[in-house]
Amino acid sequence: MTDTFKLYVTGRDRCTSVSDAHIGVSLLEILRDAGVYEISAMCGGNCSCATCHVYVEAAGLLSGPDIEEAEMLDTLLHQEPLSRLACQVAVTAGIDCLRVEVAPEE
Amino acid sequence: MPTHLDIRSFPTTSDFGFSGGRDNFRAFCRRVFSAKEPRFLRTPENQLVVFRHADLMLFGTAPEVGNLPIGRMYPNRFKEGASPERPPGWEIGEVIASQVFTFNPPLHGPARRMLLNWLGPKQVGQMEELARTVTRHVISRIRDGETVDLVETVAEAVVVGFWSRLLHLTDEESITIGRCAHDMTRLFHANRSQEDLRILDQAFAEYARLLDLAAMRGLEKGDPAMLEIAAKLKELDFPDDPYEVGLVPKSVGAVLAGNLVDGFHTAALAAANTFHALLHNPEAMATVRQAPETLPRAIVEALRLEPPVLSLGRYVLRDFHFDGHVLPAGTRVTMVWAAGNHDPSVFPEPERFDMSRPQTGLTTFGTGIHICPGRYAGVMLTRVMLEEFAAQDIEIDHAEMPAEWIPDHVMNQLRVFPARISLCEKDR
Repeated sequence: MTDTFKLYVTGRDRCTSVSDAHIGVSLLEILRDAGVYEISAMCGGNCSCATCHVYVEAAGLLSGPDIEEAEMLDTLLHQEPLSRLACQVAVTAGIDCLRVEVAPEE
Repeated sequence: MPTHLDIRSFPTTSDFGFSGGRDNFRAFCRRVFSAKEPRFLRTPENQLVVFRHADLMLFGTAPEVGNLPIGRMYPNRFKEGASPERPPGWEIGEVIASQVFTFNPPLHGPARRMLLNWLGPKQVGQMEELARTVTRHVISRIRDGETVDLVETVAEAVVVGFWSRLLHLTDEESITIGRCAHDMTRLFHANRSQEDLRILDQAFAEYARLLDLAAMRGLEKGDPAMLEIAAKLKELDFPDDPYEVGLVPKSVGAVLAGNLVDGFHTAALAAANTFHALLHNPEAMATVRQAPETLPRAIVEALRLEPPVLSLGRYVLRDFHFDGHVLPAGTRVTMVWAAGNHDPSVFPEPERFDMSRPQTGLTTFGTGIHICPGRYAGVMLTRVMLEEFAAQDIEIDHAEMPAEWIPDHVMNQLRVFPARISLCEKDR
């Protein structure tokens, strides 16, 4: 098992980039390290603003949103079944590939 | 070994010419950002003043730096054996005590989510049609060629009309609450006089009475939003702690009153300031007219340039360690949020309206867990006003009288903004 995984990120411009990312931190930090600057995360990763809204394809590999995240997601205009707040997604061992799309701005 | 931050060693804001107010603020930013030092400033009362973008982010997202609790704002009010007499400013405290901006964890999170459940982007999107109806009504009262005050005749009229309709207030009550919201401007004077406090107490008492009435009416009518707030309010099971955590609001009316001060008052500033920024940047105005899809970016840039709030108070809940310093618990901090948007290290040529600049890192609505939960409603109202003026091909031009900003104010607030309103040729 390695501590890196393939990260595919589709931005708001619909372009997809791929990079190697490290497990063990939040998806928000991973996206920032990968240079995805269109995520503003205005609350600083505290599950309070939903400006790090992304769609994540990794069914079953990640733990689901807790009640606080779920309540925040429920307020979003662009909420979809794959919606997550990047600041609340812990990327842990066992993931070899993650596909993330940056959600439209609210 | 971390050293205590010596607040008294920093220059004061007035050393850099800042005593509040927009024009003063602009001059302050030019001066204070011309050098890398000082890192911090202080108020004349020795509160720490945070103004650089990086520090606003650092302090704004630090869990040690919380909201200013109501008991610290009004220290005499909660003292054992406090006088039963109500000193000047009492009614303001009655309302503000239910405001999420006076709450800290563990009350803050669920109280904030209770509001977002009502005023989140999805919910605000459902209110847009109402905002449009109110805006059209306001516009219909303006005559072709008339010079109007965009603050009072448009921004305040739409904002007050919107909340009044949403909350089942009668036309007469709407006029009264509009007057109260107008009087609330005095709350943001840098130096409040006894006369300010007297007028504020009257305004806040009447405003709270009307919102209590609105809440009761909404609950009786089975308004889903009011019922949801009532249900969420019952779940807020925290003992009263005025000195740190805050006070759980005692009724739905108290929730509305506490948290709609900015709805009734500050949202109108956001709209008026956006009109001002666009009117002073004709190229941007032309761009949004030609390409309406650029309007959201234009509003974000307008509010970066002219944010409604200049500064807000914070409070250090626990010793805050940063960069080898320690800021002790109990320190009061002034966050000059508007300065973050004018920090040239993040926003080059900060006074230039530039819709193409990156729109991340803005401090317009604060940052951290205390970021303004009502911002979606404020921005939606602003957007709808501009869209409706454009949809009806109404031109807004400078009037002969200049706009006037309120001096010595913690808000970036226009007192008056005369503008000439004219219908385009094809509509005459």
